Amino acid sequence: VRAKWGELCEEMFEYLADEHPSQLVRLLLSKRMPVSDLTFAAEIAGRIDDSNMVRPVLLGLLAHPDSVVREGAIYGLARHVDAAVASKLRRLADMDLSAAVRSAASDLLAATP
Amino acid sequence: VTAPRIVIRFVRRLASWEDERPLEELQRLEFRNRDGTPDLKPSVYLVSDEEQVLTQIYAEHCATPPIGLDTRASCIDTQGCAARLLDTDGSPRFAFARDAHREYDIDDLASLIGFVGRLRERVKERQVRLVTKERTVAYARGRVTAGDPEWVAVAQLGERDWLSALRKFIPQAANE
Repeated sequence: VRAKWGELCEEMFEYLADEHPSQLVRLLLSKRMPVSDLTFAAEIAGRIDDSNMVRPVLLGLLAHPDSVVREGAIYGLARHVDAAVASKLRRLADMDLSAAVRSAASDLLAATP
Repeated sequence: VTAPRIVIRFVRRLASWEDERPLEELQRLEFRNRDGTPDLKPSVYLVSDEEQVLTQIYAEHCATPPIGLDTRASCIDTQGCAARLLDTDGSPRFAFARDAHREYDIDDLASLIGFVGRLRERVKERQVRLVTKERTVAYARGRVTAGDPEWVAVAQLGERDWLSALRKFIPQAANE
């Protein structure tokens, strides 16, 4: 993977999500990614089918100090909303310091049956 | 009265523009290609500043893979931030988006960061408006229901969930 892309990028995250999802999850947990990569990796991780694998990681990123990462994690959670995620989204929609995060959380709650 | 023309860029992360983050980081968030290289030809649309026009352009933008419709859009008016604006074809699927599409032609990473800095200087004035996902879907559904051949073709391809969901609105006559 490194030989093909050289640096972290969306194409790499998409490849990992499709072919090696556990490696993408490990990357998300590594705490070594810059926020400018982490936000897109979080969103792309949302395409992993196994909610039990990806949901806890994305839930954790909802508490990330940088708002762009929280916003990316919300997009990633779109297909993985359960009661715990919905509860966290409600808190973000009401109380997050970032207007972008509040609106992303509100949008996802509105789109969730 | 004619609405003013604006040169809009759909932003990747609305939160990117809220904080005083380093310009290099803002560039990496908003102006990078999918392979990680700097986007020296940022894609924009030259359109009139009208709600229905922004909705149309966002719907057509999202109906062209690899772009999807995951969230609302926020667009920024980029006028005056870079010198060279090229008239380049946009989505091959929609004549309106194709004609409205433009690309900035930026020399190198340093110039791109300068462009990003000029954008952020007056970002509050530049943030045009939001286009909601609901409005976008409603627009697309309306076009499919009306038998618009461009939208019927995209619905029939159904490459994304939201596009597949439009299939049931294709009129019988458009299927024949």
